[in-house]
Amino acid sequence: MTLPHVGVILHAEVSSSITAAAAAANEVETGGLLLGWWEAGNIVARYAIEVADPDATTSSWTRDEERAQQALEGALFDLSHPWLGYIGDWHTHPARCGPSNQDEDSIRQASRGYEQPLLLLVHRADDQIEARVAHQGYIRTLTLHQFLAN
Amino acid sequence: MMATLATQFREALSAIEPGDDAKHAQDAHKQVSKVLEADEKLRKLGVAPLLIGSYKRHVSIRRVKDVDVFARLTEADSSLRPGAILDHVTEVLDKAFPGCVERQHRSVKVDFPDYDLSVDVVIARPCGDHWEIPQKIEADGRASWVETNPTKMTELTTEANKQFLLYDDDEDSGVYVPVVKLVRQVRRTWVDDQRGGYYFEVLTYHAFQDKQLNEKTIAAYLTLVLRWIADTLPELVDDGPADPTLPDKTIKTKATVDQIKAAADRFAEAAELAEEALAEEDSCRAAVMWRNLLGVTKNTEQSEYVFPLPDYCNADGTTKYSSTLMKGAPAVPAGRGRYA
Amino acid sequence: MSSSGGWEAHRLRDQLVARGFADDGVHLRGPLPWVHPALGGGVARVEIELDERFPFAPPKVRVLDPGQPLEMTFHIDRPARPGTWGNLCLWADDWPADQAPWVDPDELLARVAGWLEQTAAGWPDDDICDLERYLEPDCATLVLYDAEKLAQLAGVAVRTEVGPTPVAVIVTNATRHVKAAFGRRRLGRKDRRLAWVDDLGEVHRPVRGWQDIEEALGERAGVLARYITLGVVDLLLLRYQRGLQRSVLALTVRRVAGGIHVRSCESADTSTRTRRLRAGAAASELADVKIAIVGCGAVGSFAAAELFRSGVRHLTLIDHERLRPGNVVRHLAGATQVGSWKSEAVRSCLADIDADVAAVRARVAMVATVTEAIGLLRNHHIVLDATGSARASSLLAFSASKMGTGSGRVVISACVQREGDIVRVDRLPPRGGETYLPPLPIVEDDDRLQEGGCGDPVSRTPPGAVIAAAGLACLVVIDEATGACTLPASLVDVRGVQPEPPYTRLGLVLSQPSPEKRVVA
Repeated sequence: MTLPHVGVILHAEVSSSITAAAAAANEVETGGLLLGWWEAGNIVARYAIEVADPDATTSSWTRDEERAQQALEGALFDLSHPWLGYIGDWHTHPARCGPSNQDEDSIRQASRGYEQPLLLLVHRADDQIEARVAHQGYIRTLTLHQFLAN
Repeated sequence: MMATLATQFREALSAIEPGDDAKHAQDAHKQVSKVLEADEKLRKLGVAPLLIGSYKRHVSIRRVKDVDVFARLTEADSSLRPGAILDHVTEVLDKAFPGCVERQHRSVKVDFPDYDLSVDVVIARPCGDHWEIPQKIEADGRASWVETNPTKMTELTTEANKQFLLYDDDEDSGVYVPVVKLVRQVRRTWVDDQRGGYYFEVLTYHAFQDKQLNEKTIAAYLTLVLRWIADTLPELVDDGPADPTLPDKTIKTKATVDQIKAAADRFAEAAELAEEALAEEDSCRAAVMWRNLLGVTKNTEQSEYVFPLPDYCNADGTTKYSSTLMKGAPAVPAGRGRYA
Repeated sequence: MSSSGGWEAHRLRDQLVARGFADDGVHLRGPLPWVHPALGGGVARVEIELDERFPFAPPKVRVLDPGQPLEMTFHIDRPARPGTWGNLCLWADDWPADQAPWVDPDELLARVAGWLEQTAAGWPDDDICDLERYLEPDCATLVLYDAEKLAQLAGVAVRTEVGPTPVAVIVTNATRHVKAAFGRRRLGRKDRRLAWVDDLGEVHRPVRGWQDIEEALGERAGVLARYITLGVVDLLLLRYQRGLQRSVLALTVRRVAGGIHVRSCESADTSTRTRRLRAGAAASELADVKIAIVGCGAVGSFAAAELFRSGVRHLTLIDHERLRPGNVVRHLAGATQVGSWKSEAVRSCLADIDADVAAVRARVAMVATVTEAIGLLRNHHIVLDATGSARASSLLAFSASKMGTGSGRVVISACVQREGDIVRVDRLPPRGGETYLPPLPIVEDDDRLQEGGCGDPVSRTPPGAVIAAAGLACLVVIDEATGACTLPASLVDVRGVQPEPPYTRLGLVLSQPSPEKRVVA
């Protein structure tokens, strides 16, 4: 079986909202959902929304189904864009490091529930954003394209 | 706003194009003509075979099962006995196509099993400006003759297709011919697929002339024509529609009054479905209605839907987000996902 | 059963039908109101085609009838059929499909109306130099010319030369007076394949054929037409101006029955200025910096190429070995150079990048004594040590510290360690209180690779690490050469995690900057 390569199209709004959330969260991790759609072999990340985790620490953030689903539905209603839906997760690392093994395990696990690949974005302390793509339980290679806001 | 689905209609039209049948029909016609023209006796009668019928008018649809050849006997006079001539034609053709020729009531049928189609040879004699074909042949070979003008319908079809244009500035954008084909397909689907397509072709002709249709899409033309036929057919049960090729004549059909009434009911249903489809704003729901209206191809090895659904539609008329673009998921993953 | 046209396409079709367009499933044709700046409102008739690229690319739009007198000039493709107009160029930028303005019927129609208004107004303020697109393309010719050298020529025929590849033609600035050759029945070889250089000045409509050239050149066109008819000239190089932009249109011309057939070709300016456009911002600063590269093996060869591409022109390349077939995998030079001295092989590669290699010297030598090392430092601003040999590196380091920071001379030492897991660059001598990152002990490898015989052992470093080391070294060299001095004394790129701190994480590790630098920051 060949492992398909996935393109990731990141709108500027996604990076800027994640960076802003990271700054606001200070030394604690925060995270949330990526909203977008799948388009011709690409994952398009259009918006990032924050989902609060009251138990977040300096080294962990957890996506809770109930809170996350509520946040997703609220955002889909507010944004009222016909193509939007859940396409992955994001969270911040107060340290200067990219996705951990735990991070990859979690997105791989989540990806088993979807036909299309999921995207994980990790914001590092140096304002870099690293990406992983998981599809049906496997990490896939990816190419990142950034769109500037118009 | 209506879902007009013009690209789908274009594909539907190409799905009912005769395709290979066209080549086969051409070839079968040629073979039969050659045999007739080679016969001494027929040559003396001035035989001049002519392709007529829906195939000639470019309004035939897949599958073309029969092709009509009009065997004009230009030198024939009133002494001609059609029974004897048909016997002779049968004999001549049987020599050339052994076992494939059948003498019919008013014509001779030649089967082309390889092509899965047959050629019907009708003999005709001149009568002033017109032609006559035998109406009823008695046992002694004598017959009463009836006036006919099969080439006139070809001319009228060409004219109508130039008169009714999708784009006023484009002579090649005729809508009459495509709409006739779609009406024939609707008839095959909703009434039956026996002979009788000509009857509805003539009705379509009248619908265009009566309403002087001028629409933006094939969907709209088809809907209005179906409505006109549905409304008019009950009035024609007894006499049939006027024959556009001969003044003061009407088109006769072998169908019984009950059959025509039943056909009228079916066309009323079809027209209603078309109107509903045309008014539908959701293009997938509209596409499924058009698909039901136009049914499947007839007499093909595999019957295929004539009207293709757009890629982004499910068969039940719901919309799937197309293969190139898929909406993000409506739900987050179950349970908890911990990131460290 | 598949079907053309996605949901977006069907939606737009329906919306256009609602705006009076008729649709045959391929083309939509309908009315388009627009305002002529001089003649006022009118209605054009346009044809819109949504092909399989929609909505990722805009629909194709053609004008069937502008509805008012209008000369179509710019921003329109060549027509597919004579007697029609080509597709309008409505949007130059790419848009993500969900934001593309062309999926909205009103934006689409407004854009077309705007196009018609702009065309009627003569495209004021438009300076796009794309005259090639309006002519049939000649894809088999690439015309090379030096804009600086041709700047003064107009209305003359010049000689051409065969370029580096069969499709390339070089237009020289050697003018040729053909007049003497007229009268004669046969043309000499020197009077063939000439290019005509001329200036169209400011253009207000595209060149769509010979008539347009004739009109623009005035009386000079007569001579040119004769040259073309005689087979003397088969190439035109026409300067032109749109707004403030200047450009050149290259055309191949030939005589055909009833006239002159004109096709456009790709062309490129070979002047130094244009060739250096992509060298980076520091190129002009680097042109006068003298740099020596000691060791023209894997790291040295790629570093030489990168520095040369960045604008460095004074280079001394030093190496005492020949290029072996096994080297090629991790070397700038290819198999055709096997057997050459590595320093000379690198120089010849640089000459392929740009012919300006007069100040690039290749030496077949070793730097074995302090005297030689100091001599090298005296004659160069920067010595890049790419030997990968501890002995040579310490010799250069010793010489640099002996000369002291006051000399302004620096040695930049680049190496790859731990089979490519560690890429390291150090700058010597230290400035102020600069410190270095701790060295990594050499890990003994039991089964070292060796080519047949008893040469040096072959390292297992992958080519990627070599190129990374060359890249990191050049970063430091350029930082130093431009006087930016923003980088610390040691940079280590950890490409594979090591047990020894601070190399336990992937990524770049930097040494502490000098104390005074920290105060300033």
